[in-house]
Amino acid sequence: MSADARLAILARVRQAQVRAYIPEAKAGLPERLAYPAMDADTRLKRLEEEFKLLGVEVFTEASEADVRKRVAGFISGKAILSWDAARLPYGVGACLDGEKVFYGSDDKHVQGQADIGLTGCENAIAETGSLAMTSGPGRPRSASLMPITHVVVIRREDILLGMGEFFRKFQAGASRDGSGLPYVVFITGPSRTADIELSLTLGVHGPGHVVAVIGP
Amino acid sequence: MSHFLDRVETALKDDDLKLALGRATDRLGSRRSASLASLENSDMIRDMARRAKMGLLTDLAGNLETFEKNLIQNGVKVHWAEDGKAANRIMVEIAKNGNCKRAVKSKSMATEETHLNHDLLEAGLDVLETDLGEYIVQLADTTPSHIILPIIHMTKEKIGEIMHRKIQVPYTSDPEKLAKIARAKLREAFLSADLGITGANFGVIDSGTIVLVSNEGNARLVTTLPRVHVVVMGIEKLVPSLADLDLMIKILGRSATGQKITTYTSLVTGPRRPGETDGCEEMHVILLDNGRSRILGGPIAEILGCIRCGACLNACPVYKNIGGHAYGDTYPGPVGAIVTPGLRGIKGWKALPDASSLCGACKEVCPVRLDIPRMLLELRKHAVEEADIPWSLRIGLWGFGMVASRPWLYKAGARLGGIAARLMAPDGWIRKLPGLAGGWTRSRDMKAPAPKSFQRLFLERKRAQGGRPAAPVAAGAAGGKETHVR
Repeated sequence: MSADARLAILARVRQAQVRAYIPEAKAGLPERLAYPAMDADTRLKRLEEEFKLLGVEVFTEASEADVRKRVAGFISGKAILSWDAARLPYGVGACLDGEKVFYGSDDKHVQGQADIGLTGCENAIAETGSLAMTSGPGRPRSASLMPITHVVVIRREDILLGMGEFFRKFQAGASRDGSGLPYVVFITGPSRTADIELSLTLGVHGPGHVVAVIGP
Repeated sequence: MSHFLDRVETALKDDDLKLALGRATDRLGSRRSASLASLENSDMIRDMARRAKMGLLTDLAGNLETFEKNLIQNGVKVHWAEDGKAANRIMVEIAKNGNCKRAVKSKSMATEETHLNHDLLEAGLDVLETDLGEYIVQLADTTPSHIILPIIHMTKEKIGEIMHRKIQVPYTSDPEKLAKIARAKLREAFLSADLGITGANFGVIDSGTIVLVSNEGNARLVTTLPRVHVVVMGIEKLVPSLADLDLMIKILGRSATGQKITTYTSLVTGPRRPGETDGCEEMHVILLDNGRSRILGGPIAEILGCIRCGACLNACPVYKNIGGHAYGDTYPGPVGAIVTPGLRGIKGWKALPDASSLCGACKEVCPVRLDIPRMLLELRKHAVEEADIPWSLRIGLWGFGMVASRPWLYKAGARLGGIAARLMAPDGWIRKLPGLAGGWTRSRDMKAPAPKSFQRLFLERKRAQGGRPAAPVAAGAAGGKETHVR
């Protein structure tokens, strides 16, 4: 049934596209959008600014030890849903010792009881204040999604200017190992809705509170 | 179904609706301008986005085949649906084969278009909308009235009352408390659901990726927790590559709500991979035609480049006054006035392209610069060719054609008409025209024509100057066009 539909639709589309009136594109446009070169400090500043505008709490630390101390301050004594310890940068996994921790391998109802999610990220996008998260073994999607608070640790060298740079990196990677793009989510600030009379409400489904700890 | 004009009349009498609409559309409109102004090269980015969207339509069939091939390579099962009924049937089958009992949905205009919820409930499946606005729409058993703000037409008091009545929670009109109640209710549903249903904001051809944007995070939950994920998408929702997706993301959020980017942008490229602990185990994409191929084969093909941001709704003086429901189908506003007659055929929807002053505000704000006024005119032309035209109009047009093509008859008619009109207007204004022409004066007065017609003035001048005439003063000649609005 669906196979017949496929042929019928494709045949109709093929016929239609010949008759379609499709306006010409404007002349003189560049092939690709170019990203201006930006040094690491400027990128960091831009990211911090965007985070603040979005209501993301941001801490930029000078040493690995400071990162661990900052993270410990947020998670200690809470029920934590975390990436596998080995996947967290700056040895932050050590902060999980002695805490009540759930992992991606736990039942999802159990994961749902966590107060706080702890993750790293693939990249941060300075231009929009976004976290580019990719999922994979030991890096569950749920950790940045289910708990009401999300603590993310960002390596300074992973800050990119725009989303286009992130995509370029993956297009190159995808052609290398053929595994294609992983599941990606760009997270930009806390979960929000304005559905009720346009009044802004945070944390309607995802985290209502996002804490970014940027390392050296 | 009720007639367009009746729905408009109902909407115009609803003061709450007008107030809410006015507030919301103005705020969204000004946020949109501010956020586009802050985007460097925004004009160029819009032109590039338009180029990408228009370019893929020139070989939509080939692009669909490539997209399908890449989806399959990513482990996705692909289905094709001629119309809404077929899409729903496929969905029910997938649910049955996968032994699914409970479905959660994130906001999708495509499934509104196919009336999916109705067919799923009929097939014995439990289905819950999870976007806060859509959840309330579902509780209230109504339909969304704005593409991105489904309950823009409801007050918070009304929403509180609906939730109190339908899910037995204590009454409150505090948006924050209402959202908290919904979070708890819906979280339970997410955890017990085995089927996740979404639309698609974009389908990236060269990576075989489904892209979903949401501010609340429900689209993430729908693609993370249930075992089976089914996407319903129109065959036009493609972009060639991730580089083009970058362009679309830059303009979509800004045009919709004035955000630089929507809070969550998810790229789903197949089911979960080995070693992953969440994400669906089985993923399906249903490619829906439902009239789109018909739109492609004609003068309004351009509308298939629409990215559903809603900016044209917020800019439209007609939408601001009548709201979404008056448009009578899934897609409201200027875009709906083109898409609805396009998908469903002009018959029965003739009034939609007429409900526009062609002011051009929609074209101005459209992120991919769709020429909406041009397409509205095309549809009006089409309606005149296709639809039933009353005999009075036919005779009138035939008569006008006859007179206008015979100069002696036209001159005589104009002179006689002028004399008659001046007789009816002792003070220079005609209050009421006789017969069929009475429609013109029902809501306004008409100024009597000037004593000398344009042609007379022209001739007189020509004679006076003995040859080449200068143009006569326009004021006298244009007198007949002035109106008094009552």
